[in-house]
Formats: sequence, structure tokens, C-alpha cells
Amino acid sequence: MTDETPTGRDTSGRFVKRAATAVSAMSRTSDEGIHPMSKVLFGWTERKNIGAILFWVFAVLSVLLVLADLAVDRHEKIGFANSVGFYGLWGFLSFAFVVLMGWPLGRLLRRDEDYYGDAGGPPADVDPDLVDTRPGAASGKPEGDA
Amino acid sequence: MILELLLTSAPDWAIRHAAVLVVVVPLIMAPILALSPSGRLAWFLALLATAASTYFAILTLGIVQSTPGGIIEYWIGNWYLIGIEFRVDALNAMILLIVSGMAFLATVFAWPTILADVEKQKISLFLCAFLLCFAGLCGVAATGDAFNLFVFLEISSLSTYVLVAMGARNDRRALPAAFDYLIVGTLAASFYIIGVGFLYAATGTLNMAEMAAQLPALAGNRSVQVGFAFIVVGLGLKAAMWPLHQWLPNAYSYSPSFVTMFLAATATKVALYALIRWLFTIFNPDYSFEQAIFTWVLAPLGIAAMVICSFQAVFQTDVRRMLAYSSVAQVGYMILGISIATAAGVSAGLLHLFNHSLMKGALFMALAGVCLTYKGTTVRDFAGLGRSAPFTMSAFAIAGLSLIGVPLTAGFMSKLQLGYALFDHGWWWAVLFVVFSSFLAVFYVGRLLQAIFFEAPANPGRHRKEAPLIVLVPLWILALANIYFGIDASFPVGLANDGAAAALGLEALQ
Amino acid sequence: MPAFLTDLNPGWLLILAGLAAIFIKIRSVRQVITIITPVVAILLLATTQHGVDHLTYNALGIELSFYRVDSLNFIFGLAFLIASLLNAIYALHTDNRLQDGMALAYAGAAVSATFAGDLMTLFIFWEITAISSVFLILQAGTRAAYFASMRYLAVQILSGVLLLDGIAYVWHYNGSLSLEAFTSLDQPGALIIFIAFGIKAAFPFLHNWLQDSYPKSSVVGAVILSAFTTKLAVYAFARFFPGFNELIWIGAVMTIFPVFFAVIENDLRRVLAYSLNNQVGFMICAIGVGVAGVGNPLALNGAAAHAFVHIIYKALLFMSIGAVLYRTGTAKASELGGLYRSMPWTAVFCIIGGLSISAFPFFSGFIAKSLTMSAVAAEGAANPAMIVVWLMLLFASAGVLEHSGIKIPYFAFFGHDSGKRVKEAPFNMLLAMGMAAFLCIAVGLPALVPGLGYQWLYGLLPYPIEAAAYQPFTLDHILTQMQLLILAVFAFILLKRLMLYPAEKPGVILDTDWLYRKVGYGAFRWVDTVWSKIGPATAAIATRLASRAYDNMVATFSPRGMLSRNVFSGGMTLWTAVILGLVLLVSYLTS
Repeated sequence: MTDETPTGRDTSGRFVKRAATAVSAMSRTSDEGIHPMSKVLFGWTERKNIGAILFWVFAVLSVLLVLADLAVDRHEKIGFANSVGFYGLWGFLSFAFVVLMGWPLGRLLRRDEDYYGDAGGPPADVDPDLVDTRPGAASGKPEGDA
Repeated sequence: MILELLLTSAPDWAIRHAAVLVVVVPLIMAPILALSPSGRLAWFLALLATAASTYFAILTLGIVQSTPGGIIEYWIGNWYLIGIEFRVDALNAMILLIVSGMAFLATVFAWPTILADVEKQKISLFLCAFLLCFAGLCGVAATGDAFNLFVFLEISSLSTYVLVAMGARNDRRALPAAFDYLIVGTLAASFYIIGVGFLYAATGTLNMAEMAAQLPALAGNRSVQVGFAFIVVGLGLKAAMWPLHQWLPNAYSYSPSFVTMFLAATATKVALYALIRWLFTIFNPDYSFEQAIFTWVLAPLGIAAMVICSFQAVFQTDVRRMLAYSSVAQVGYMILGISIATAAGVSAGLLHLFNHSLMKGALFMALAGVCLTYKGTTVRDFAGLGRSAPFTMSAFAIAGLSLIGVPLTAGFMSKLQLGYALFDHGWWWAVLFVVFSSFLAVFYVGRLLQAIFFEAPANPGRHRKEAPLIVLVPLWILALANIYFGIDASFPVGLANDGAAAALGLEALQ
Repeated sequence: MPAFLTDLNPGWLLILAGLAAIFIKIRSVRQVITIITPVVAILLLATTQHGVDHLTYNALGIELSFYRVDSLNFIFGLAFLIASLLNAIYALHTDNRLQDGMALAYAGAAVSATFAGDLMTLFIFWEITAISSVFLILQAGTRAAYFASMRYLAVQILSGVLLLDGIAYVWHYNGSLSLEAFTSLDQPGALIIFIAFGIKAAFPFLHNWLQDSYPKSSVVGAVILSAFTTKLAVYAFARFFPGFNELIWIGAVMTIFPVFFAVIENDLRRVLAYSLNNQVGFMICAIGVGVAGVGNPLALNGAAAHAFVHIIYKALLFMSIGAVLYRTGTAKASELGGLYRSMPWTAVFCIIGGLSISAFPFFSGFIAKSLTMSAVAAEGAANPAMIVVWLMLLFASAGVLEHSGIKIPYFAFFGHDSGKRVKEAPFNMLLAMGMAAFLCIAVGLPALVPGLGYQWLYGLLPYPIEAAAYQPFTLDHILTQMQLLILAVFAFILLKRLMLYPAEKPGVILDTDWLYRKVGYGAFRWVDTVWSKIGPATAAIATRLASRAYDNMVATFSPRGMLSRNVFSGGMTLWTAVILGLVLLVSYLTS
């Protein structure tokens, strides 16, 4: 069809076609199931020492933010909130507290999945292709059948 | 307006003796019925008797409403102060109207169910017992004499045992049920008469009005209090006040379906009436011990009935038992209303009494229709009936919704009034129980309606078959009344307000 | 636009279109309806005059006003309509008449309730939201969903019954059903209505219907459900109970306790449900601060703004997890991970949602939460108790970051690679997510062009003048918020490196639903067992006494008959004696 377009619009037609091919290439999942955009968007997370990098980036950022607090003269309504690094400290402690509470709470409150006797499966409106391949994919998600 | 028309058109003797004729007509008709050779004739005569009673009850109501004091005093045989007095005020008139009206509708629809439930040669006797029961109930509601009340109570009770036992043809369990009822009924009557005895000893009179006049002077008298306790418990037994209700589910479940419908719509109501009469007219909520009974005994028992029996109803598999437990729960609402001991509270209790006889009447009538055509009263038997008997079942559904208290039905109105009264009294916590109990009603009625309308029939062989027309007509009258009084409640509310005012000896509320 | 159209409650349009959609078998026609209707409704709403009762009707002596727009409900209604449009796009890949129709009707009921001009109308549509939304849970088609939907329905109906009850009192005592705010909980009906609203807003201990049902609904259903019910309750509180101190504390507790559950919860949709609870807590708290003093317009503005942005970013998060569920068949953190490889766009949108809900500057959550926090802080200057509340909210802000900002994207798309290689979400899902993400960013930006960015939202708030005077993008705000968030993220990285972060394990987390699902169910089972033992016993005897002569005996003396008789002879008289004794005792003691 596109080959028979009038010559006048040929270039633009070809451009559109090329763009469409590019978009389609960028949105077609490869055979290994890897989406091409993932490399562009999140390729950086696959670096080997990403953990250490993130750690140091955020450590430096944190220090910078606390230091910046020295430079900014804040006018808080609540007195003690004016102390340097208060928000940072509160945020850090809150977060750590919440996460660490996860250990005892998890032990206290977590039960088997069929505790209520109705562990259930996925809802009816999941991808129909998925349902078709479920017998084959059963080994991929052993917990789902438990 | 209809009342005025009736009053002007009624003959003089009818107006003069209306209050007594309500009772006397069925009382005299009963032995005549027993002699009737044919069941059909007996039924026809019973129909006439209940119709006449209804007519006189309406007349009585009209007279009460048009008399300045609102009280008819009728001394039988004109033996003033020595004989028996019939004393009818707005409260009695309301109860008389309910009882006779329901009896009339019950008799109308009864014919096909009697044919199915009762052996042919016993029909006349069966109807005779029914009329006696009816006369007894009316008598309780009309008399102004404490001992006479006992007599009428016994007349109605004894005939009720017979009626319940007649269910034995379909289900032998009716016999033990009747026997249990007999024991409990006798217990109740003895308690009542013991109480009356104590009071007679203290006051020297059996006339209620006289007794009421003498009691204030006897403040602190122990025998009065003991008499009071016996009477409350005795009448509580009759009214199926929780936990004295255990006779009721069996009696309702195994008696002939027509009897169930009649008893559910009237019997406990009359006992409740007697209780109100004793609690408010003869005794007085100003007495400190009575106030305490209201707060610490009646209100908790009423609430317990509402909640516990609603739960029990949820777990029943037999529809008649479910409705029976629901009845006990509804009595709980009325007891709760009474225990507020304000005019508004008593009025709410009376309104619920009125509405409850409408809805339970309709429910049991529809049930009787189902028994007639489909045999079987378990929830499973009801599955899919919405398609096979749409008219019977939609009337059933309307009454069921009214039982829940859905807006635009009569049941909603009375629960609303009860809620107002509770709130006015400061018992807002009790409102939560009322709501919770209605919430349970959603489940037991909902379960039934779900089976009726959404489930496939248990027995696919059944095809469309309605209850006979003679059942459908009174059934729909009741169902439509449930809706009508849910939209325009002025008539029953007026009755209940007047009744409450009469019971408490106040000027009419309106 | 013709007058009769602008006088029509846009919610009704949605309800009608929804009911029609149920019966339309042609998929494309239905799709057009589901998309066009919200758009038309938004146009109708935009052209409607404010502060006028548009459609009134007198029934049974009650003056009903079906459509009334004012500055408070406008923004809620608009948010509902936008959510409805996003949902319709998100659902385009499905072909489910009931779900399409009920989604529209549910949204329509919520809009109609929002624009109700009197209590009775509010109640009617309040109930319709309950009933229409049940179908969305049922569409999941699983056994668990069926039971959850029944529990959900029971709770919702209970809320409706209570509301009706409260309305009856208000009508009885005030003789009016107008939308006037209560002044104290002692007013007739106020407490009951408060509880009714509280159930829908999922107050602590009344909250469990939400975590129970939303995660069990269908993929599309969860997205739709997340938008309406609780926010309608928030609106109702803002309308009837502004400035009630009780709300401050309830809201503060509400922001905190879901945080702990969200940390240990494995089902990501359930994590989002807890997060929803926590967000509603912020709004409730803001409403409580409402009229109290300096914070007045600021706080109500905060609640309204928060509701608006929350509806969108919460929908976005539910959409992204829904897309994951759609493609992989599971939303459990323990079974997911590493999905950015196959669903990068979904991952991007999910992160945008996470950044918004965590209130990173330049995302929508920031401009809404700042209003609330400033209002509470302003109160705190005068009232030390409010400092505690303020600290609680600050704590909860870190908590939000934990479960919605980090946990959701991290465990779904990064973290341990589950090895699942699936297709990217369908285009319509991506489109809906993209639109929601666009709104999240567009609303959160500083007003580079005056009137756009955050100022667009501020202009729609109940107190636009006060809102215009408020500056969210000050150096103070940005710095403190960044400090809070960045150090919290740092805490995450640190804990992760130290292996102190609890791993996601499969399992259910007990909550208050344990009481009725386990204890109550156990009691029910016990009764059932007893019952079923009695039944076979009857049957066994009946078979043994098969001879016809004994049949009557069985009918008379069967265990059930005997049982009731035993209860009878002993119990009944005993009870009579007990009651008699009780009556005697009470009258003896009190005379």
C-alpha cells in the first residue's frame, strides 16, 4: 500500500513509515521477553555495583541537604522544627522504625495463605493468553497453586 | 369519615351494646357452629360472626373517638360496681379492631387450608374452637375486670391448645407442641390469677378502674408488689416475652397454617395489651419499683429478644420457625417501646404491634398458600417459587421487606417511631440495638427472598401454580396495607397515640 | 448550552448511560458510551452555575434538591468524573457489559451524591454506590471475591442503614434536611451519621472492608473502586463535620496504623489499599483542623486538594499494579520482581505515581500535602497537642514513602528478578496510566504560566482566595520535604545493604477482619457442626425404625422433638422462676 503513495508525499510517507517502524521496534518485546525501552529507561540499574553507587549518591545527597539547612533560614511555626536536619532525622528514624517493626509484626500477624480457607486465584479478567499458558507456566509460580 | 357514616347509619341498639357485641356474637355463634352439620355452613357462619365482630369493633372505635372522655363503660346487666364491667377506651378499641379485623381476614382465607389440614367431620368443631378463641381474645381486650380477664384468657388459651393440636394430622409433633403450650399457658394463667389474688387481698376489688384508684394509697405494700410481679411474669409468658417464649416456635410451626396465621397476628398482641393495661392504667410508671422493672428487667429483656431471637431466626431452616423466632424478636421491640414508659414509647410499641400483625399476618398467609399448593416449609422448598407463584411471593416479599423495616413500608414507620421515642428518652444506645436487629432481619429475610426469586426450583417438575384466589385477596389486602401505612401512617399513628394516651391516662396526644 | 441540560446532575447522566451500557451487546458502541459520557458530564459540570438548587422535587413533604454545585463539592465531583474517564480508558481491552455499566453507574452515583442538595438525596445515592460497586468485586469471579463482596455489601448496607437512621433524627428534630454542618456530636442524629460516614471512610477498626474487598476485585474493578467510596465519605465529612476535634485524632491514627500493615503485606494491591487508608487519614485530619482557627481555609483546602490529587495518583498506582496482575496473573510481591525488563512503561508510570503519593516536590502530592501540614503546624503553634498530631503526620509521610513510593515499584519492577517475561501492558492501559501520570506532574508543577500548574488546582479549591495566597514552592518547603524523603530513602538503602529489610514472604496478614472471618466464622462453623450432627442422628434413627408402624413414633419423639421437650420442661419453668425472682428482687430493692 505505502509503495503506491503519490510521489509528492513520498518522502513524508516514508518518514512516517520509518518512524512507525522505529516505534514498533521500540515497543515490541524481544523473544527473551525483554522490552527494548527497558534498556533505555532502566539500563543503568543493571550495573554491577549499582547498590554501592546508590548508597553513596544518597549518602552525599543527604549530607548536602542537611548542610543546606544551615544556609537556609527557616521560619517554622513549631519551634523545634527549626533545628538543623530535624526533618531529615525524623524521616530517617520514622522510616527505619517502620521497616524494623516489620520483623516482629510479620511474625505476629503473618499466617498461611489459605488461613481463611479461600486463598483464591487471579481474578477472571487477567490476560487471556496467560490463562491459556497456565499449565505450562505452572512451574514458574509454585506459590500460586499452593 | 367512614366511621361517621357507620355511626350515623348504625341502629341504636348496636351503638348501645357495640362493645359487648364484639365479644358476645362469636361467643354465641360458637356452640351453634358446633352443631352445624356441614363444614361449609360452619365456615360461612364463622365468616358472618367475625364480620359482625369487626363491624362492632369499628363501631366501638367510632364511639370511643366521638365520646368526650374517650371511654365506654358498660356494666353487664347494669349491675353497677357489683358485676362485670366492660370498659373500652382508645387502647382497647385499637386492639379490638386489630383482633377482629385479622380474624375476619383469617376466616376468609381459611377455607382451602382447613380443607387441606382438618378432617372433614371435624371442620365444624375446629371452627367452633376458633370462634371461642377469638371471642376469648376479644373479651380480654374489652373487659374492665381483672378476674374476667382471666376467664377470657382461659377461654382463648384452652381453645388455642385444641387448635394447635389439630396440626397433628400433618405433623405429629403438633401434639407435644400443644401439650407444652398447655403447660406454659396454665402456668401463665395461674401466675396471673395468683397476682390478681394478691391484689384482691390488698384492695378488695377486682374492677380495674377501682383497683387503680386504690393502689396509690397502698404504696410500699409488699403484697401489691408480689402481685405485680406475678402478673407481669404471667402475662409476659403469654406475650412470649424473651426468655419466656420457648413455647411459641413449636406452637407456630406445627399447628395448622390458618391457626398459625391467626395466632401470630393476634394472640401475643392481646397478651401485650393486657400487660400495657396493667403496667400503665392499673399500676403506674410513677411507682419506683415499676420504674425499676422497666429499666432493669423489661428493657434488657426486650433488647435480648430483638438480638438473640433475630440470630436464632437467621439459623432456622424451616420458614415457619424462622418467622416464629422473628415474632419473638418483634415482641422484643414492643416490650422495649413499653419499657420507655413515656407516651411516645408506648405509642411506638402499639404502632409496632399494629404493623406487626399486618406483616406477620401477610407472611403467614402467604406461607399457608405455599403449604397448600406446594407442601413443605423449609427454605429449600421455597427455592424458585418466585417464578412459579409470582403473586403469592411478591406479597410475601412486600411483607418481608416491611419486617426488615425498609423505608416506605409500615415496618419502617414503627421502627422510626420507636427510635424517636428511645432518642427522646436518652436511650440512644438502644437505637443501635434496634438498628442491629433490623440488620439481622436483612439476613434472614434476605436469605429467604434470595431463595424465592434467584434460586432454581428445588423440584423442577413444579410449574406455575398460585395460591387460590380466596387466599390471594386477603393476602394482598394485607400486603398493600403494609405499603399504604408505610407511606401514610396517620391512621395507625393516630390510633397508637390515642391508645398510649388512654393507657397512661393522659389527654389525647393529637 | 440549553438550560435543562445544565440543570441536569451529571451523575444521573452517568447512571443512565451505565444502565444502558449493561444492555448494549455491541462492544464498540459500549466503549464509545463509556468514554463519551464522562467527557460530556465534565462539560456539563463546567458550565453549571454554582450555589443554586438546580433540580428540586417535593416528595412526602420533604424538599429534595438533586443538584447543587458549590465550591466545596465542585472539586470532588470533577475528580470523580476525571477518574471515571480514566477508568473507562483503562477498561477498554475488556468486553464485560456488567462491569462497564456498573463502573459508570457507580461513578455516577458518587457524583450524584456529591452534588446532592439535601440529606435524603445523599442517602439514596450513597446506597446506589454501595450496590453498584459490589458487582465490580464480583467480576473477579473467584470464590474469595464472592465472600469478600458479601462482607463488603453487609458493611456498606450497615453504613447506609445508620445514615438513614441519623437522617430520620435530623428530620424529626430539625424538620429540615439541608446540608448544614453539625456543630457538635450531641446534636440529634449527629453521632449516628458520623459513624455511618466513618464506616465508608474506613476509620480505624471500621476499615477492614476496604483491605478485604479491593484487593480481591477484578483488575479493572480495583482501579474503579479506589476512586469513589472513601472520597465520597471524605466529602461528606468536609460537608457535615468540619472542625470536629475527634476527626483530627482519628485522622492522625488513620495515617499511622496502615503503614505498619503495609510493610509486612505481600499482596501489592492490599498494600495499596492500606496506603489508601493512610491517605484518607490525612484528609480526615485536615477536615478536623478545618474551622478551628488560623488553619481554617488552609486545612479544608488541603483536604479537598488532597482528595483530588489522591484520586488520580491512587488510580495510577492501582492501574500499574493492575497491569502487572493482568500480564502475570499475580500481584504478590514474593512472586514478582524485575518486571521493568518487560514492562518499562508501566514501571515509569508506577514510579511517577509513587513519587506523587510520597509528595516529592514537583509532583502532585506535594502541593496538596503542604496545605495540610502547614495548617496543622499553624495550629501547633498555639496548641501543644497539635504538635503531636503534626509529628504523627510527618511520621506517616515517611511511611507513605516506604510502602507506596518504594515498596510498590521496587518489589514489582526491580528487586529480585522473578524471571517473569511478559508483554508490556495493553495500549489502552498505558494510555490511561499516561494520562494519569500527566495529571500528576502537570498539577504538581510550579505555575510557570500563571493559572496553570498547581495554581489551576488551587483555583478550584473551596477557598480559592486563601489558596491563591498560599505558596507551596518556598525554599523552606522544598528543602524540608527533600530532607525528609531523601534521608528516608537513604534509610531504605542502608537497611537493604545491612540485610535488615524484611523479605517479602507469602502469607496473609491478620487485621480486624480476623474477628469476623475467623472467630465469627468459627462460631458459625461450630453451630453448623452441631446442627449437622443432629440432622444425621435424626436420619439414622429414622432408617433404623424403618417399619411404618414406628413412623408416627419418630415424628413425635424424634431427637429434635425430644430436644425441644427437654429444653422445655426444665428450661421453660426455670426461666419463668428466674424472671419472677428477678422482678420480685428488683421491686423489693427499689421500693
